[in-house]
Amino acid sequence: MKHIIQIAVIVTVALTIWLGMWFLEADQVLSVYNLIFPPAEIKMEDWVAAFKTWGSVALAVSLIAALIWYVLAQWVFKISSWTDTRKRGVWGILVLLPVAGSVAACFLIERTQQGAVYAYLFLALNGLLCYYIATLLTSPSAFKYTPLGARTLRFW
Amino acid sequence: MSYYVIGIGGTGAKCVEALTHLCAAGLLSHPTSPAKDMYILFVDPDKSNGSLARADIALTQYVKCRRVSLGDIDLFGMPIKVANPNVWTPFKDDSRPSLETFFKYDTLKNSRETAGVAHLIDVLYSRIEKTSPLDEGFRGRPSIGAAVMASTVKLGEEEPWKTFKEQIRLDISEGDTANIVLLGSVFGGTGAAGIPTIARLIREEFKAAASSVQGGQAGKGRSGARLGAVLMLPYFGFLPVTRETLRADADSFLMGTQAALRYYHNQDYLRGTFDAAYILGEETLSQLGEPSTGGRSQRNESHVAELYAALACIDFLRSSETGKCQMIARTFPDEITWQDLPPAAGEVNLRDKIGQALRFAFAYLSVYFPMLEAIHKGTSAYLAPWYVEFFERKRVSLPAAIGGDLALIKDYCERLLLWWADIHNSCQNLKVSLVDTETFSEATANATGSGIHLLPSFVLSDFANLTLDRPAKDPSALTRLWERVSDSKVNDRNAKGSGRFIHALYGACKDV
Repeated sequence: MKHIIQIAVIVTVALTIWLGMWFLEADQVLSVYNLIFPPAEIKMEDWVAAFKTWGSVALAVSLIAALIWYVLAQWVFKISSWTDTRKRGVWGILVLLPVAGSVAACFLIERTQQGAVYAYLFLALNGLLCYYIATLLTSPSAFKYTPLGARTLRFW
Repeated sequence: MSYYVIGIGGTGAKCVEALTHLCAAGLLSHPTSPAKDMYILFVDPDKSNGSLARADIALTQYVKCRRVSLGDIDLFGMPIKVANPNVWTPFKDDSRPSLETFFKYDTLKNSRETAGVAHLIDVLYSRIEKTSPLDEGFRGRPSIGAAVMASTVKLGEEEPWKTFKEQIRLDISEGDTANIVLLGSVFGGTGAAGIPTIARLIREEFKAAASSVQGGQAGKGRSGARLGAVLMLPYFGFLPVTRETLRADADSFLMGTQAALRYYHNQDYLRGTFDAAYILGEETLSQLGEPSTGGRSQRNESHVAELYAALACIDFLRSSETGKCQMIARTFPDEITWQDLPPAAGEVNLRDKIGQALRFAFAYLSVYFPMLEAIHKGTSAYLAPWYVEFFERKRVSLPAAIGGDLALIKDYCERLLLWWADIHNSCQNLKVSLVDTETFSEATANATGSGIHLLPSFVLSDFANLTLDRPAKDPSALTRLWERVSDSKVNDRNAKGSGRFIHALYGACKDV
């Protein structure tokens, strides 16, 4: 039951960020506030659709990375000695997955005339935040302070 | 109400050591025990006796560990008070006492009025028995010990007997029952002499005191003091110490035992003096290592019979039943398993309780204390979520804890594991299958014989099966323990400082 709840939290984090990306960033921030100017041959709606699609893929990669971390920390890592608890490196390596997903999404979305940095920023933030918040909230007890900053932010 | 435990002689001291370790495991812990504390004292003319020294160290460490604010847990649950002085000896200032000097034999002989007494001493004791030094014990001669003890034990006149008597009188005056138990051998010198002598004195003292108590046991002619005895029959042997003329002789143990038991029967000790008597022995005598007449070199290895003695003591202290005659035996002649241990007055979860204490000691020494040391030396604290919870966030100073409370617990845990290893390794021709001691200890031969040592690295994969109750290894047990400790929250107000961490770790060790 506990694991189902934790996995549900991970998925909820990803879903929340996805909804934010879908309805706020893409529709509101990027297009309504004129932060983005797509290329002349591409309509804004099409660019936003591509942003949402590849942004969703990047978020899915982050979600998978967070789930991999949970599975590893919960069922794979064994602690027989205190030296077995050094897993921040693994957590850090898994960050590369959302980074890779975001970078790939940046390349796959059509370049813009202006404001590309905002799109890339949002793509990167979405991916990293999804992974970071999910692992911060749900890292199993034995590794609950492994995510950077968890010692300060997590009190359960 | 208090419990009163008197360990008489080297065997008595070893039984008290076993009792201490069982108390540490929570077998008499408050609040399941109605007693407020346990008062322990030793009787031994040989103050430098190695067995006595070891028991005293275990008790001292236990008392220090109790000062750690662990909260309401079974670990070190029984409050123990050690008498002051902790050892009573009949020889106060005499540096090389002998029977002659003790009875002032020369003075007796030279006086016409007392020459007859001197002649009686000549009849009862040989020249060697009169002149041999007794500062290392009564050399397996209960006749010597009985004469000395009867002349010197005076309840109420000197410490620690004075406090002992006052405490019991207080219990009786408050309408409580004082439970007093004597532990010792019937085949040695000090125990064989001391138990009947001291028992008789105690019974006479408190029979009179309790006669004014209304109701209770007074009507039966018994005082408000229950008196029990754990009498150890021979369970070990040794080679004679050839350089000594007056020495205990293992070959005479059985004859001495026969004489002692006949004495107890004829003098009606078993029904007239004791409310309960537990008589324990072992058919196969385990040969000790280096034989000794006494002193520091008399450091007999711990034996599983002492575990039984401690369980008998607990049974007496917690039970009020009398009049039954029960026997125990083991299933196999050459092996002792958990099924062969008596339940000790309703403590049916003996294996669980002891297993929890052993798992705690094992995990503490192999994983948690090393982690704390590593953090103290600079390792990142995030690696140990329980450290963040119990030390960092509670502002408990790790340097102070490492040098104080945590070190005390560590020392006791080492002693506890070594004792369990000792009782598994010291029995020859008898396999003790209670604890998997090979996961944390090894027997090695050194210049003075064989010794038991803790392994530099414990076999962590066998943590789950310390009490030999699992058919297969469980390599994830320590991982689950780490998770439970990391998740623990201690809401016990009585647990403070590093005691909260100990409380959490001990609680997490309940289940594997």
